Amino acid sequence: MRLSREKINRLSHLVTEELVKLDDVEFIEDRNTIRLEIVKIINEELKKEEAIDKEAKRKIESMKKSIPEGSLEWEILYRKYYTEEVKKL
Amino acid sequence: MSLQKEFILYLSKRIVDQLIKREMIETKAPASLQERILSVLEEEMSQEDKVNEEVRGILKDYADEMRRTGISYQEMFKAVKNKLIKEKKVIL
Repeated sequence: MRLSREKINRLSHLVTEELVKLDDVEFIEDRNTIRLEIVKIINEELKKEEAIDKEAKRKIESMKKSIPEGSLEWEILYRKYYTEEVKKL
Repeated sequence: MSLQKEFILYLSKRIVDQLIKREMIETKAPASLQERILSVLEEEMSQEDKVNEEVRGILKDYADEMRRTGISYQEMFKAVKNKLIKEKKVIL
């Protein structure tokens, strides 16, 4: 998992606090229910992110030329393939 | 940042869309809400990068001492980073 449970919880609290601040957001459910739903949404989306990460790395590995992970060239290619995969979502 | 910027942007949109779809919230300004959420996510996700930057700055002043004592940069980096994370109460 790319984010720790603690980090996901922290993000859920921060997002909920932001929603509370905004006058043009109306709560249908109570604050904690919304926060827990945000946790759920983040976890769902992180599964997709893992697949994106895996696919970007697979594309680099399938290239004829061997490119060491962490090198500048690898980072550029990773970013390129990662962005392509995110656009497909 | 452990997540790429493009994904954080996507995530901010998904959070807003899904909260509305799942009937958790209502808003007449979803685009503006998404920008606010994006800002929150980016700020929090950049915390580790900021700590790393601070550590690098600190270690620059200790380069000579590290050479003298034989402590590796990686060891010092880890030690100083852990100290800063505790002090700043950063969640990784």
